[in-house]
Amino acid sequence: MNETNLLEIRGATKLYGGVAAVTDISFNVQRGEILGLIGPNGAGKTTLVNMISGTAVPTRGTIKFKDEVLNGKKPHIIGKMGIARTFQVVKPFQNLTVLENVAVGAMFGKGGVKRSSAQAFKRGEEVLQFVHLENYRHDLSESLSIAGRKRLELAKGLAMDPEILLLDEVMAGLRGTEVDEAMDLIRAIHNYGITLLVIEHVMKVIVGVCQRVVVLDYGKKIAEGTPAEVTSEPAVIQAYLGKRYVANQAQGLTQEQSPLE
Amino acid sequence: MSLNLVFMLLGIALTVLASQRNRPRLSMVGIGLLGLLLLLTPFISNNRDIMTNVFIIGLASVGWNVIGGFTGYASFGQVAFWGLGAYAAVVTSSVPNAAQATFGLPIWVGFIMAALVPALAALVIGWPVLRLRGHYFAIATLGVAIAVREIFKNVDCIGNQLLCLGGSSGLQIQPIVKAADREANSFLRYFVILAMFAGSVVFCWYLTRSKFGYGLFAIRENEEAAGVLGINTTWFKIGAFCLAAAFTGLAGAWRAMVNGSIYPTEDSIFDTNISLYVIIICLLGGVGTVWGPFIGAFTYSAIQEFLGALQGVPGFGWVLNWTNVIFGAIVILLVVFLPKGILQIVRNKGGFTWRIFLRNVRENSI
Ligand SMILES: Nc1ncnc2c1ncn2[C@@H]1O[C@H](COP(=O)(O)OP(=O)(O)OP(=O)(O)O)[C@@H](O)[C@H]1O
Ligand SMILES: [Mg+2]
Repeated sequence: MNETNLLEIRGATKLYGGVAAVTDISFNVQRGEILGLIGPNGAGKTTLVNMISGTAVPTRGTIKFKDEVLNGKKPHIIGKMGIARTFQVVKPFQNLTVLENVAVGAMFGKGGVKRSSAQAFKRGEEVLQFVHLENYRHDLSESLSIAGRKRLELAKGLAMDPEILLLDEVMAGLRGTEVDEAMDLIRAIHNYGITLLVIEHVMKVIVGVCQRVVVLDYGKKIAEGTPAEVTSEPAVIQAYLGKRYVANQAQGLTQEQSPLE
Repeated sequence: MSLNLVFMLLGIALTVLASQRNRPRLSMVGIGLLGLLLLLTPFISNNRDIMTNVFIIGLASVGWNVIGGFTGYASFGQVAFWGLGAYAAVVTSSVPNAAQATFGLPIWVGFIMAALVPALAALVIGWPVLRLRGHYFAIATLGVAIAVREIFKNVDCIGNQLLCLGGSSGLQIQPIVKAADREANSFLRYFVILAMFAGSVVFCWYLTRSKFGYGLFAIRENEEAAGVLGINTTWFKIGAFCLAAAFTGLAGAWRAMVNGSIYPTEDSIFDTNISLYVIIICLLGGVGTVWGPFIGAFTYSAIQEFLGALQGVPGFGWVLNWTNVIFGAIVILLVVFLPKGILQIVRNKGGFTWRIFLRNVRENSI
């Protein structure tokens, strides 16, 4: 078994009709790291997460988790193997309480097999405490704010006791100190030994918590490296700011700082 | 006013008490009084079979509630399992004679088969049908009910007289009980059906606290998210469908036993209305709640009983021809103003206010 690579993605491709959402992407997620996944809107980030979690089947390529091929496995099998994810468009169980939502994750995830229903609720309480949602535990999940629902997504994934957690824009809509708190939360999860794949548009977060970053654009991987490396890569700057910006900058016509830095 | 109507109204009130999950003491009092009422009813009632029927349709509704209420897959074909359960029990337990080759096994074997056969059928049917959602699932189950009925109409004997279903002439239930014991039998029947109905509610109470139950809720709320959390949605749905079929099948078997004969027709054991009644009952009480079918069964029967009694009142004879119209109107009002059933009023945090109705209308209209 490969000791360093938890997740190996090789030539992953997803076509919707004739449209390629993801084209021939390869990279590894190493055990114990926080890997950032960035790219402009429509770059294919969510599609990649869908393929890893089994909610979308790759058209080509293979995805391996601990040397086991995930292609063709149902989402519930993948979830039980130790892969948890959040949904960018949140999917709370609306008519269940916040605690029940999280308890379901604790019942059926990797750690759920040997848990009774009551033990799962206990675990749910712990997780809610951890993500600071404990005051809402007996409220229906539909009563949460959007930021709260994002945090609930995270809590459900965490309650599964995963080895890797795929976070698809769980911080969208957060402001100021909320972002800092969320970053602390991610670091705390990491300290528990959970590997993280973090999708986020806020560069401050990516630079702040990630050891490595993979950049997608139009479904292709255009860069991989440390946050400092990728943000100085011309292809990445171009993807975010357009060709003209790069050309202007080369001629010294612009004083603006790249927002990526 | 008929005595049974009083029992039903009392039944509604006490079940409402019993369903107070946030007030355990009140709930225990409610359950106790309800138990007492139902134990005394057959000794006081002038027609205990009417009360027996409440439990039969209630038991069938508990079945629908498992798949339609807990899991969110509204079956419109529960009568298929109702009929299958009836046939399973009659073929197993009815005493054979020259006209029909039934097995004449003990009645309890018949009831085991009445749960098992529909559950097995649900396993086979559920595999393809539970891939569909919403309207498509509803229509498919409707189709299943029609197909099952037609199969029973056309199949007389399978495998060289091994298993005979009587084809279009149906099956008679040979009375196992002597005429002299009829009265005692009707008592016994009341209590056994009551025990099964109460047992099914206790089972559902347990279900809603179990991992399996939470898996079903998660599927109802968001199937994709449920799968990602590690729930084997395919098997959970099939499991729920089998349970639903088993409960409804048991109820169908009781209907057959009470009626004495079954025919594979719309006005006998394949009465399409059954598929609707079980839904209406759950709607009345509260879809997806443990006590919903209990409250619903009492309410449904009370409305029927009331309309029946009204016909006898001078000046209200016309109700006879309008019973179904009135009942239909009640259902419409219910779906518009109280789609979550009577339990919604009872469990509303601020107590009862008329605003509940208006809020429901606002929330459910586009
Ligand atoms: N189910 C689908 N059917 C058809 N096209 C799809 C589907 N899912 C995604 N796409 C397309 O694939 C491309 C990649 O979408 P994806 O959601 O993966 O991007 P993303 O990087 O997550 O974007 P964002 O930052 O906006 O979340 C888009 O062009 C999108 O329209
Ligand atoms: Mg996305």
